[in-house]
Amino acid sequence: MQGFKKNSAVFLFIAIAVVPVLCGFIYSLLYSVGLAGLLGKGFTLEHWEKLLASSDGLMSIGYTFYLTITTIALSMIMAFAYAWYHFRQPSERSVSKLYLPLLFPPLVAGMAWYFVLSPSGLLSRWSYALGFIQRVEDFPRWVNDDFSFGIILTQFFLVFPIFTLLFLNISKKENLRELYRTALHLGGDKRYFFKNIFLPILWSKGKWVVVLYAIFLMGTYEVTLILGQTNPRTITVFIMEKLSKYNLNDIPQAHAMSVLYSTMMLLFMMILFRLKNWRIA
Amino acid sequence: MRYGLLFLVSIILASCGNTPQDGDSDVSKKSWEQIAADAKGQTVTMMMWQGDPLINKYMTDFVVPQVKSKYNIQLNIVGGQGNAIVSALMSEMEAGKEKSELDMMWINGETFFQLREIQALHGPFVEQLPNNKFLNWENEFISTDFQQSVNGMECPWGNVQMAWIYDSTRVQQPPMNMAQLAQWVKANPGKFTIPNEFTGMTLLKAWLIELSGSKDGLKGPFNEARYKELSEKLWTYINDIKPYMWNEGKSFPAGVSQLHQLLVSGEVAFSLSNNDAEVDNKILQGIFPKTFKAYVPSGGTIQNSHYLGIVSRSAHKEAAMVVCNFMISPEAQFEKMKPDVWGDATVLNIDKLEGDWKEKFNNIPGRSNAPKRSEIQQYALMEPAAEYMIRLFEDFRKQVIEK
Repeated sequence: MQGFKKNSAVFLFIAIAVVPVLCGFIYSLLYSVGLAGLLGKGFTLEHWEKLLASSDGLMSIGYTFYLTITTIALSMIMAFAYAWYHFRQPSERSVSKLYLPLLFPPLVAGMAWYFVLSPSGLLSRWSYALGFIQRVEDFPRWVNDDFSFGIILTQFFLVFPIFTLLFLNISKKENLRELYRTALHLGGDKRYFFKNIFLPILWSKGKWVVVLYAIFLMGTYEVTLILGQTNPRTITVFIMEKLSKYNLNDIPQAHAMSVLYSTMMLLFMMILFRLKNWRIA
Repeated sequence: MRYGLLFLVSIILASCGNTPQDGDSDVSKKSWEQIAADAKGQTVTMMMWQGDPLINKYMTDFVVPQVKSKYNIQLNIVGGQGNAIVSALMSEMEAGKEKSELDMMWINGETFFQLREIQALHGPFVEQLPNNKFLNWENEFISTDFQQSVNGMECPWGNVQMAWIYDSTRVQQPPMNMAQLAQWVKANPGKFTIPNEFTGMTLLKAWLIELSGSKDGLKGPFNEARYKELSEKLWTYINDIKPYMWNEGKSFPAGVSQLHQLLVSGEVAFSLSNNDAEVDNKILQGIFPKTFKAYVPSGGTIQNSHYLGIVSRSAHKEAAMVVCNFMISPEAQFEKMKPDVWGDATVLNIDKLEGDWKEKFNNIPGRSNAPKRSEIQQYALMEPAAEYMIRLFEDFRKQVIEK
């Protein structure tokens, strides 16, 4: 009976979560080689060749990695710092504020930051009113800019509260406060505890959530569309443009990119699973 | 495991092999009386762009109740344009769905081109509509769509011409051609940009024609050699002014609504509209200040028509045809043409109208900040073949955005 229940749960998971995604993946693969789709004319590698030969597609991958790694790195640094501060000086009020940014969907957050940071936005208007700038052009460009400052800032405020809450929960669950007291009692100092106990435990218990969130971040669309430059563009914007613009013959390239992206993520996860420190017990 | 994978692949392959089929082919043989009788009680789903509150109001407050009370047809409006329509219909066809969720849609030339590519349009059907006799088929801006003969596959609904919008308090003498524009952009850095979408590409088409030196410079089917020759000049021109464009030409607005926003906030000095009357419409909505004006440069802008199409797999073609017929009736076209309703120019030949309709159309209140149709008609350029749009969009990225 127990075995039947376990098998049913596995079957249900495969049926609901794995099969549709796998079907989508295979369909995209067939579409990208001309074996599916209304305009498919039989097997061809033409769309893959076009994708891999264009700097546009490859730059999209690089740009998406840049945004993700930068956002995750900054969010983790801030989340560790905030969690450490709160760990030493606990306050319910400071934690409850962390839930506030999580109430905003990415689209709303993207628009809000656009209206704050754009040259005609709130900061620019205040700067003008206070006499810091004379013309709208004098305000530095923080949206649609070269370094994607607006995107990183928006995503940072969406991600860092999640990481902080995650780390705080881990510290609570692992009873780190008790360990901290004991360490200090035995003559250890704060820095030693932070470096050798606090950080390693939080990272060890939270790393999979961080990785999964990074993968989720790579797939976001709205923030990068609103606040990003026209070139380069993220993988999602690239796929959407190829899928929905004027040339129907570009649709297979969108499918090829989604297959490429999925394969890269799969390989990345497989490598992680094989690493000793990353194995899930 | 092996059998499971085989089963999965066979399901996917089976779903890929379906070919499009026409829905109810008998409609073309029915008399109008039969069509009108069969249409009663049907529900029609129409997909259209819903980005303008006044246009939405015209549809929901005028068209929907009228077709319900006159013909007992329930008209449901759903949001979506161009790419969304093509994607929705393609997905249905690829999945082998026999009857579409959509019955009719508002389409423009590039969507017409794409829908014909995938054979998703029902027709020809326009000649069956009684109000077809009022349509201005003599006007080539109505009978030809992106250099393709309409051939009854789509029903003309309205006619517009691209116009430039500017704030008359900030720009006293707007540039009238490409040479003047280049001078203006260099003298006013950061104040001009091109949206990287349909409207922007429509501007580039007009510039290609201007560079050809003749209004008929791109007439006829797509010509690769002609395109290469003219587009090289175009990219040279744009790249010359690019450093002086908004955000130093490093990014371009994703849509025309963003461009409107940039104009309102003062970041740029010009916006563009595919509807020459939009400026009045937006002033009435309170979106634009009263100092905003529209004009058409003497180099010319594209004039085109928008149309109503019926889905080949629609289960309610009769009702969709009745709705189309109502939407090209003098009554519906008159209402739509009023500047405080939509301001969309009619596709009817006013001289053909019966009763006092001719007088009514001639006495519609004039435009205030939009240019008169009679004044800008001389600068109207025909839409070139759809392939020009596809190539311009691709090459604008390669030759301008990525450089």
